[in-house]
Amino acid sequence: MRVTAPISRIDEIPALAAAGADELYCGVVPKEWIARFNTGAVNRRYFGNLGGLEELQRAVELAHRSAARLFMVLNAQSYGGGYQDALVELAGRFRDFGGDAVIVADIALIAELRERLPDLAIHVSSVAGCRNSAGIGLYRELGVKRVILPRDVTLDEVGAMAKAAEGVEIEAFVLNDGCVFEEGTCHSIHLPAKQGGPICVDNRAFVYRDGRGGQISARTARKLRDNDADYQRWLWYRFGCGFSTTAEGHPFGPCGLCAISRLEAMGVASIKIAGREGASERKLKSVEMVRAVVDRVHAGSPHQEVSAFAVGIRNTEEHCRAGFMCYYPEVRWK
Amino acid sequence: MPTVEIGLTVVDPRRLPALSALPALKACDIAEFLGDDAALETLPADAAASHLYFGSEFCEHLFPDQAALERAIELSGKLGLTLVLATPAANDALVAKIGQAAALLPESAEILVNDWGVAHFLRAAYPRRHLVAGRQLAKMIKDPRVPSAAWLKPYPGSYGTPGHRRLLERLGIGRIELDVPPFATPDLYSVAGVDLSVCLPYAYVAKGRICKIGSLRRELPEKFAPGRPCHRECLGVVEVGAAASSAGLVSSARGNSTFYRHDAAMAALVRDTLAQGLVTRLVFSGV
Repeated sequence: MRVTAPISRIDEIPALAAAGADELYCGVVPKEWIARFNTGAVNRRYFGNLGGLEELQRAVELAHRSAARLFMVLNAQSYGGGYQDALVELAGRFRDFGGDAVIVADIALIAELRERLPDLAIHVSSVAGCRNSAGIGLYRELGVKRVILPRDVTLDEVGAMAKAAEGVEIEAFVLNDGCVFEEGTCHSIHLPAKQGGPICVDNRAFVYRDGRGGQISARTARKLRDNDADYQRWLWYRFGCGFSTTAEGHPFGPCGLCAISRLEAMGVASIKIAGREGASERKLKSVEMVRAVVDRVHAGSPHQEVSAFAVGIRNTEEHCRAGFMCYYPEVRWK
Repeated sequence: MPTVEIGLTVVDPRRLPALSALPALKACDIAEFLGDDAALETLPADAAASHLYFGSEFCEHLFPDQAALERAIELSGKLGLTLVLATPAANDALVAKIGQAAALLPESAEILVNDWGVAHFLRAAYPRRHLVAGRQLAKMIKDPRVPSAAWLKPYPGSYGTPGHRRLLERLGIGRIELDVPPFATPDLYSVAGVDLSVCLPYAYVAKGRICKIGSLRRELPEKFAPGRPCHRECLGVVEVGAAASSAGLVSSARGNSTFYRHDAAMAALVRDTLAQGLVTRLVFSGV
């Protein structure tokens, strides 16, 4: 099982690789792209990207020198027809630099890249929302090397897909950055804060109505209010406990450390740390946490011991007990 | 106006009996079913439905059981409507259930898919079945808060590329369904090689697998977890936006999904696409 971590600056590469990242992924916004399209939307993040092709080439060299692979994201949900040639061209440059794979969400772009750059490995982005073995079968026919599963899948579902994957590697989320909505099915924009920010935390006012638009009972309203309060607490966890860290710098937020033993046993090839836009220190501490757990799994430590170790890293058991911080909460229910 | 097909979506099987006494499903009946006269302003008063959509395109827990599906099949036959089985994104267990349901459907029925894996499975298992690509597969920006069309430019509608058309051909998909995003123009609906449906009067914005109201009756540690069954609370309670967005759109939410209601410009666009023959089916549903 490999540890896959994000970078947004080339100086992060040696440190993250030394901390235990086997694989790194990055985005890039070439100056030529901005000049041609008047937008920085090469992938689904405007920020957290390398600044150009020279940096991208340097990143590949640095990663390989650090014994890590480097992947490049082209992970917008979709691109219009006018971008297709430029995307293939960019992916081709990355391949020529020695880049190891592109991470792609748009299924049509996957097919296009397979046809025009057959020697470039393709990883299906979590944004593609591949939730079943039949989907993996389709992507296998399209020639992909790996499918990155979306966040909100259960361990049983991961196991079923991993079992059926046959020749396609499976990557699963393990740390940081939880979207509220499902990958690939959110059609909103993370607007600037003054315009509402991400829609999932845009506290628009609403009223509850019954299914026909009528009033609901006071008793139901009370239950809904209590549930809303629980949901707000869950949201706080989902967004990294206010993007906070322990005193040692270990990040809070969506976490699957306790599930690593089971993911390993299922044959999951790689576990993903999210957060390209995060601070370098956050990425470093994230890799350290995940690597420490993976090393214990690889050393053959029993699941319970690994789980206890994982919980102990942050030394804030109350957060773990809440269950709201878990990518795979069922691991704590059994 | 060219001939247009009209669909009505029924998510809750308990609402099927409301239609069973009708001799045919007219525009006024659709308005009454939805409790929404304004939703029908796009239609001539004498228009009649041609398709009955049954099931949820958004939630795995609302997939109908066999008895409910059989009632929908019977009702669609009685009303002379083509049945369209709506399906959401699915895990392996639900894919298997969809396969079992597909075997029960009459030959003329269609299946609305919102998951490429489901489409791939159905194409292999039921190669003659008519598949419709749902609006979750139609990628575009539909944020009701965007202040101008410039925000939509970087990620235009996904069906504009030859690659998508080849994919639809590969999966034997002959119809796609689209929403009306803010600032939409008719060219969004100029998609060669497939028939187009538009959903109205609500566009969906986002859906999650974590469902707030679906956790209403769960104890704390097990709330807001993926894949956990619910009590279908969403069929009885909706969230209605208390105010319009800065762009003038009113949002609602049911269960795991959020929507906005079309404004006058969107309704006009739908009429325009109908007049141009770009859109050949309207699918009416509540939130």
